[in-house]
Amino acid sequence: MNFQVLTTYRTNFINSIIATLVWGSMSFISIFLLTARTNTVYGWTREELLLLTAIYNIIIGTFHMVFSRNFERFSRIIHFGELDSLLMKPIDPQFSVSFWLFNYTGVFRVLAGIIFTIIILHSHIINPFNLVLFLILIPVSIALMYSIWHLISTLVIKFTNLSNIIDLLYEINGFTRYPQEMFRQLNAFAFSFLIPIIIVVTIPTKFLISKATSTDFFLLLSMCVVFLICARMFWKFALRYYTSASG
Amino acid sequence: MRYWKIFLLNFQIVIIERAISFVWFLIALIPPFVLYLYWRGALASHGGNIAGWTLSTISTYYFMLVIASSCFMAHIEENVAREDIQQGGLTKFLVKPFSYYILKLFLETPWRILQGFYGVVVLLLFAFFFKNLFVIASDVKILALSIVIIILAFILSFTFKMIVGLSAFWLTDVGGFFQLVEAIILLCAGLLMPLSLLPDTIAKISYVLPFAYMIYFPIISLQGTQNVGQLMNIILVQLVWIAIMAYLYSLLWKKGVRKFTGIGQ
Amino acid sequence: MSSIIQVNNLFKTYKIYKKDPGFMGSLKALVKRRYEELHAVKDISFSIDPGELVGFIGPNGAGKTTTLKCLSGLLYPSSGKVSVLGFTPFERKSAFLKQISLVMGQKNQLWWDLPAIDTFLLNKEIYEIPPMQYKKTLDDLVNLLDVEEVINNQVRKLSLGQRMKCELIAALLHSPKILFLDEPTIGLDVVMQKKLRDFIKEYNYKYGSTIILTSHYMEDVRQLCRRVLVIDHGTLLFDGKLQDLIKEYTQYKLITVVFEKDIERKDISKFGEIKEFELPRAVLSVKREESNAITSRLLADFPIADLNIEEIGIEDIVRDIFIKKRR
Repeated sequence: MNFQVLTTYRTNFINSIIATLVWGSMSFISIFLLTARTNTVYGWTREELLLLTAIYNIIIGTFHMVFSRNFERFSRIIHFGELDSLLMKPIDPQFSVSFWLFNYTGVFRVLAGIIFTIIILHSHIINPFNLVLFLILIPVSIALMYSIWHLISTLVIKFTNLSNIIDLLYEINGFTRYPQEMFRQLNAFAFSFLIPIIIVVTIPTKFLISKATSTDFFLLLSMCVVFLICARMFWKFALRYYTSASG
Repeated sequence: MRYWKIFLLNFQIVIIERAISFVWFLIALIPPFVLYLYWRGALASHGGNIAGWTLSTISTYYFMLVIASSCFMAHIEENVAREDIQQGGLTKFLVKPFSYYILKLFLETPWRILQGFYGVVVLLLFAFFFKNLFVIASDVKILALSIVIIILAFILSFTFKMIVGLSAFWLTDVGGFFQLVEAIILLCAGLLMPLSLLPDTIAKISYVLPFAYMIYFPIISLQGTQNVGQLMNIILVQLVWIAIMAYLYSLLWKKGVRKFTGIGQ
Repeated sequence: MSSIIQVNNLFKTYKIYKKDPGFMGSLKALVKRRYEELHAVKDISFSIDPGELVGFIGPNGAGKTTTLKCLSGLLYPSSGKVSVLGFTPFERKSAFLKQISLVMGQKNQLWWDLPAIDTFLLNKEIYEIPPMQYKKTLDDLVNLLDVEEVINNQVRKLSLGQRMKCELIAALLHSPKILFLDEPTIGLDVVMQKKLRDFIKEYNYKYGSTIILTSHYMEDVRQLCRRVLVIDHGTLLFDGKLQDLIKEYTQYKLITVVFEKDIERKDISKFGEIKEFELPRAVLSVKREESNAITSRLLADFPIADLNIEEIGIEDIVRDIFIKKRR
């Protein structure tokens, strides 16, 4: 049913494909250009940074496939006052808000990411244990990204006029393309504030290049669990506030 | 006089929407900030100098970029394409005896001014806390010419974005087209990095396109790296591009309205 | 008196893209699109004199709005000649635009986040209205429409009726010679519809401006227009005095009755023509003048659960006209 919706609006389908191709390519091109005159940055070589971008595309691509359309829709639902009819349905509202739409075009980014990963790593030998940990961490990262988006989007229930919060979230995703070491320069407060988002891509990637420690693994895992719980609790709190406020 | 009054009336809208405007500013702030962090590391592992750019000049560049992308670059194309052309809001403009271009200009300018205000506040904070990282021109002549360049850059980017918005007369897939334009501007206007740091071929192409004159040249003019002669040259090229854009705009407007009123909304 | 609007042999044809239903249709549409031609307006001619209050009526999609857009310059005709105030509308000359005004029921020109008064000030500048004239016109209109208290509130906070009133003011500040109104009472409640109609009638009387309105509500036209143009499927079916139209085509009213107990068909056949008879429901067509009397008789003589009196709808009138024209 969803594919039909996608192609009925022929325009949206082509828009999505162009957007996916453009930004997928740009993510690689920009890292390529940025590393044109330097050898290593923050302890990462050019090859490693490109690998980071490839993993970024896999994670972001999957995230866009499953979730981002839904967040945009959520913003619209709030803006047009349709939250009530959503709450009336016999489905858990968080579920229906998060999984309603599926964006097939994101698959191109994921594929591009996988292809580039294979190209960059094909001559390397990867410890199978690390590979398994990497594969486990991918869904963990996506879940963490989801909960961060969910936490911030829930604010729209109260601040209904902030229609561009989703655009802000897209930009914040951009942080994840860079190695976490880069953000250590910020003062401790800002850095700790940003930790959840900046580890989302860096840590899984580190497992592929054998730079990761067990601390990294547990940090990502625990962040994911904590944020999933916080997101759910904040969501329930916001809904309670909403249903008691609108008389 | 009536133009001034219409402008002031438009300004009121922006004051009401200042929260959204601030979020847009935050959005404009993030990419240059992240790239600035990147270059700090790149410079550190390259002896503090890459092709003539040092920590202070690069910091200043990305800092000015925040202001440039939020203040000099117009963002009117979504409004023109979606609300006016696709959703038919254009009809209320067609029935009025007033230039569409100017009404849109008065709609857009207050937003840029407010963003410029946020930018200047952040600039003052930055200049205060990081005095040695912020270097701009001190020569009055150069500063004055830079201001002219900035104003022309805005007019150029506004006219260009209006043309991009008019594409909705012919394209149903405006979203995809906008993304393409945004990606080209990212590269060729110096939003990713200073044009002199790009590979030769891409840099050469960028100098020929109009985008560099919307962002890159205004920034390096303010940084004081150009002499008066070079600044006059930049102004000349900007004027030529503005003339070309203006001609293109009026051509596309006439054709587009003809099509719009043939189809009706 | 020479006419202020002159339309000769107006034609307007659109291309409509067609898609087959279902999944296969969606795939096909991605690759190739079929289109059909829609003849929105077919050979319409008429002329209107200054100061007239004219109504275009017809069912939805009849071509009324298309004709209106051709008159106001928003559409250019496929063929034919249109002259308004001596201008060709679709050239949209400044001098032409300053003398007309268009209000479309669904689309608004008021700034959403600001008070209505700010949009008024904007129009003052756009139409170059002298300050004294602006003040006088504004005061007159605000009084006529009784919106003194709301013009300083944000438009988004106004009710639909108040918004409509402010839209009208914004449209009339420059004292246009011709006012085009497209479905002005759509979506409004009965009370507001009446208020709006009264205002339009009074405005036409007081200022002598030509007013053209389109509507699919018979009541709009009945209350306001001495002259009507009936348009259906793009053709002009009737152009003349409303009185004549009423006399000819709306002599009857429809009474719909729901009976509590079954009755015989012949029991009610003496009251009028039976249009539908499926118990417990029946629909009678009765003479207009007799409808009240017949209703009382029905209520007195029969066990009735529900009773409804309706005008013969526009669709029925138009169908009647169409059938008559065919003969």
